[in-house]
Amino acid sequence: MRRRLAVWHLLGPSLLVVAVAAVGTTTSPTIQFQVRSVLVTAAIVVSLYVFVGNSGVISFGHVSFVAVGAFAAGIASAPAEVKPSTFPKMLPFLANLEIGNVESLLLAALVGAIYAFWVGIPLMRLSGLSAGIATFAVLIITHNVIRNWEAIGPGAKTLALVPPTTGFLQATVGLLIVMAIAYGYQRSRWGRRLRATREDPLAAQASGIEVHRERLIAFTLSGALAGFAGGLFVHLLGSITTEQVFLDLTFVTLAMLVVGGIGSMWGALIGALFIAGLNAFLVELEKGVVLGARELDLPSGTRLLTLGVIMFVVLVTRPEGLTGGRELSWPIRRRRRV
Amino acid sequence: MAEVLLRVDGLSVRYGAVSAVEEVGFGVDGGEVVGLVGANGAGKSSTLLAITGVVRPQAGDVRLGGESIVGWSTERIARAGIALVPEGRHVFSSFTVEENLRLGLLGRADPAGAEDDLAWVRELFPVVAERADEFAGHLSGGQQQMLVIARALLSRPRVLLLDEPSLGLAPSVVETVFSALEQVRERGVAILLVEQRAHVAVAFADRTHVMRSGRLVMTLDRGHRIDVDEMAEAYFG
Repeated sequence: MRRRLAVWHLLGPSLLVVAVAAVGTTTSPTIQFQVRSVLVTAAIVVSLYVFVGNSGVISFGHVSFVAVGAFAAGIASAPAEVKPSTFPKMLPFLANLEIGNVESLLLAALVGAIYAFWVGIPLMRLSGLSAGIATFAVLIITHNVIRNWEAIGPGAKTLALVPPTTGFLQATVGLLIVMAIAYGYQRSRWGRRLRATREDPLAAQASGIEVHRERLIAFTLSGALAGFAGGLFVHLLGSITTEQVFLDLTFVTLAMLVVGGIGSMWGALIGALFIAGLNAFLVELEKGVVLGARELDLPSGTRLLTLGVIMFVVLVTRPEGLTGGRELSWPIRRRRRV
Repeated sequence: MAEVLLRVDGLSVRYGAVSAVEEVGFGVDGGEVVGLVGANGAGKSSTLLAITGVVRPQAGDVRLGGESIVGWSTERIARAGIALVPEGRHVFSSFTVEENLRLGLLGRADPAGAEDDLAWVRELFPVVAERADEFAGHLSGGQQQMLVIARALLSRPRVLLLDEPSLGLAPSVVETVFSALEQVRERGVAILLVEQRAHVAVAFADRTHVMRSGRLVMTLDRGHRIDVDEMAEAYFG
């Protein structure tokens, strides 16, 4: 029973993802883009969940790893013919580099992991509010380095001509990989130890669990997944600026995690699909949609206002998030979460 | 002369300007139970937290088997063989009872004998076997306390520190807990028992130190008949 339930915890959400992608392929091209972007956003939120959900420590810095992954994959895979002329100050090694799609995604994950590990060594000693502020500082530092150090990034310019390889297949498979790794970690002995420190830090330490070490493992893994999701993101957009992986994305992805339910992967996924889906829907409504005989054209600003109101209502009525921080329960026989 | 298993010498703990523990010294040997009693705020819990490295002592030494452990991390001290049962019911509530026990095995220096020890704690506290698949958060207060003690024992400690284990428990549960602790003592574990209720400690411990305002002010032998006036004097000065 428990084994079947454990399989379901991953299989159920995966089926939902495949269903969303399958429905997405039948829609118009603009909606298709929105659905793919929902899937990539979900990958970012699940990567954030790996650290925040399991450790209970808030991180405002995860979009740094998304940014690092996005620029690593984008710069490494953009055509070598145009880079030296567009970015004259870029290191020749980077300007002349051109690697394939999959390689660029793996590079994004690797760079995200290394960067997260490196900043995690001092950061993981902190807890609570100071951890939140310090991770936020990492976000600001990262943003400014990428934006101003033209030897390694596009500077204030747009990085364009990145191969747009994140179609439905890549978005779906990418998200499923992130979910499988997130779930595997959560079930592993490292995941359990970290969740124990989240529930009761004193009891965990008294049981011999090394809080710093367990947090650093999760932070590094989470950084790798965020970097990978950043790679998916840059290949979805085809062009990117540093502003697209900064404050807005940070707050939106954290809001998704909190709305969905911070304590479970199911919550991370539901929050992302719900908010990103709603957002995409409202974007289209603001542009104007013909519904039967009438044309519905909402004034601009409706989207953010509606999102804000819905998030407010969800959090007031369900402070634990839409899923209550639980994994998906077996649909036939109801059972408490494991 | 061989050194006792746990030796505390001249231990002082300060929180900012407030002194919680002042030059406290005592020893606990294997198979021995030492009680530490006193009023609220006398410094009992601070003493335990300093021994386990949760707070850093201002001065003094703590030695385990002759080796100074001051400055070690809590995790390292746990792995070295000092298990702490903190005050309150520190279970991992969204984990099952069985998972809580398994987490206790992490603190073992030697993984051999884990299954034997699991069988032993299930015998000491049958409830942890009966409710193995339930969430620890759904247990009653007394059952949670037993689970925390069972979990601490699974690290196979040489020294067991208990902070107010009888607090808020029904008399029958207190009896179960203390008869289990008796068996733990027989295995040669050193037990340091912090209690507010002096008669509980004195009935069980080989000797009981009374703490007041951060200092040890009196030592009572096992079975000492507690005189109300004497205790009021010891507790409140």
